[in-house]
Amino acid sequence: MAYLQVRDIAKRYGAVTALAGVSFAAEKGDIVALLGPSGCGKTTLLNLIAGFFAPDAGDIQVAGRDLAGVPPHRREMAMVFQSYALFPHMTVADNVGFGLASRRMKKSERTPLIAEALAAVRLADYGERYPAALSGGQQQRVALARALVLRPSLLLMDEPLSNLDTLLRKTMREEVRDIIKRTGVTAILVTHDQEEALAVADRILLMNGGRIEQEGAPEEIYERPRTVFGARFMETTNFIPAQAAGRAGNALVLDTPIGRLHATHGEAEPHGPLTVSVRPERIRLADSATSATPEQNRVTGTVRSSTYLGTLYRLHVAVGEEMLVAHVPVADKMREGDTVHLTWPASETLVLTGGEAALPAPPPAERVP
Amino acid sequence: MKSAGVVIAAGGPGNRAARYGRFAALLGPALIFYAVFFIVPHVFVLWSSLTPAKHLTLSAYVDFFNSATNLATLWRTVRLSLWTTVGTLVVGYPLAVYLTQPWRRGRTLVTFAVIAPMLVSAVARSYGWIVILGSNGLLSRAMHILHIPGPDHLLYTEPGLVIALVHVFLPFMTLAIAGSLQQIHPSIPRAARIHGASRARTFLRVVLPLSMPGVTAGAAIVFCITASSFVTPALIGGTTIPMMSYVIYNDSILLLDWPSAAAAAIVLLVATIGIVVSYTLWSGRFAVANA
Repeated sequence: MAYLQVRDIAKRYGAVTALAGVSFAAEKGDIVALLGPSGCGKTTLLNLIAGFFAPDAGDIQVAGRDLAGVPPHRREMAMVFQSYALFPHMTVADNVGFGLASRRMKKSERTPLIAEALAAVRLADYGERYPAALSGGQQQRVALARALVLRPSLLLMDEPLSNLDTLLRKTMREEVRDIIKRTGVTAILVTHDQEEALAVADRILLMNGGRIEQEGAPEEIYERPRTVFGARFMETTNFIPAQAAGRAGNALVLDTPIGRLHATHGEAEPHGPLTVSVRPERIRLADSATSATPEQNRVTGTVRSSTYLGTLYRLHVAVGEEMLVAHVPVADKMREGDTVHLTWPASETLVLTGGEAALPAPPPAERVP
Repeated sequence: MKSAGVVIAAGGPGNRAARYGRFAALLGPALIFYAVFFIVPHVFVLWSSLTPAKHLTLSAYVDFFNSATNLATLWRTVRLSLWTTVGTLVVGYPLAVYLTQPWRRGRTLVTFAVIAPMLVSAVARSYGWIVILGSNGLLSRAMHILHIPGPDHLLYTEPGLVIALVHVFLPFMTLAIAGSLQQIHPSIPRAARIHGASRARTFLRVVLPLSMPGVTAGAAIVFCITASSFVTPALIGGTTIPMMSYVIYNDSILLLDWPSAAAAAIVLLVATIGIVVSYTLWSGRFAVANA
């Protein structure tokens, strides 16, 4: 059995369903990201794992121990909060030692552990300071030291980097992952920032409307979103409504307003309204001689705008009633009104369940077990 | 405060005159008001306490401290003010915790109930207490029915007066503490819980220390206004257990002995300031810069 086992967790707040039966598992040493927009239930799920609230249904087990009815202070977990939540009336060293003292560890035993934890986050000389005298990044590292010094069964992180400025956030991502991996602790990271989830986590649970929309490795979540919501959240562009029209070899044939397209990914036979998507950077310009094949999609359109972005041009190309965005090399400079042929491989054509209208809440059938 | 200073300074860097002009414009009305209605009367009171005769003398103070009754009254005033402060703290702290919980249910009603005593005239409120505390009043009858031994009435007794004073001044303590509790980010007590602290330890080590500024402020306010309160002690304590305010009233309005009244007022003022300042300094040892 997996180290962390979350089964059918449900939670309602009055008329609002925060979580509608969520299940997932994590292996020891994994960093799992709960990724989703605000209100998707990710923070609620974290708070239920922490024991701050009780779930309406379902159970949570860590290392085979059922946590139902166990208060937060007996769960042997640790947490890093968005606001850091350092104790402002205690020194950095006392903050880091708080959990150890709560577990009745003697001061003589605490001191070396505190020093070690502060050294691990490069704050060895800051023990006697108060949190207010530290920068945001330093406070964040104190919060991490306070959590990791306990060698917790589970490290919970609630948007730990979102209070930092952009530049610091990017360097801290790697540092946080590094520190967590070095200690070998199992961690749950809640974030709304897809880049953060991709950079820090081993597995991502994409959440939407109190459910898990898709679960997988970062590459899978980014490269192979399965729903319109997932693709949108991973900042894919180019959404074209589509109807399944049979198969050609291992390719799925799709009828769309911009013509017949082929897609080779997506194992199951899709049903319901579909949406086809392709990332702008996967689209190439083709010369007029090439024609569409089951491996290579091809459409013809008119350039509506061309924006210079330094390393490339962003083209808006009208194909019938639809507008496609393509990123093309600077060498392929285009002008408004030019006729262009766009091509991309069938393997880069994403077939998403759910039409555009189905964006906010996907049907329950699409839940990933 | 800090940001206001920054804004003002940003308005005229290098132009000190303009800056002080703006300070004066902002502080002026309050300063004038205090000067006219607070400092001048107190100087006048101080002056009249020193001039019972045609020349400066401390005889009014000597007389005050030579009177065992006056000393007993001063001590009673300090004692009852302390008990009232402790009473409002004991009742008000849990109330403040309740008011700052995220639960909505009943909070508006409780907030209203806390503030309600301030909405009722002191005289009407005190007559209400007379009904409850008086002979054969609600409280003594209830105690009799429940076979709790005690006096047949609490009116004109110190415990009765403290009960009434706690009721009147509870909002000051509760709101001061609630203000302090509200400053504590909700994730701070959660951080304590998840890192192994029980509810009790979280309260004692984290919430209570962080709410100390509110406790200190509330205690200082309640102590001061109790020591100087008049209507409630006069109606519920009466002449049996007078407080300093009654002595001052008696000397000035009834006996027309202005120097004695002034001396008593100054003694009360000095005692109150002394106690509040030493308490604030003492509790300041526990207060730490709040992030």
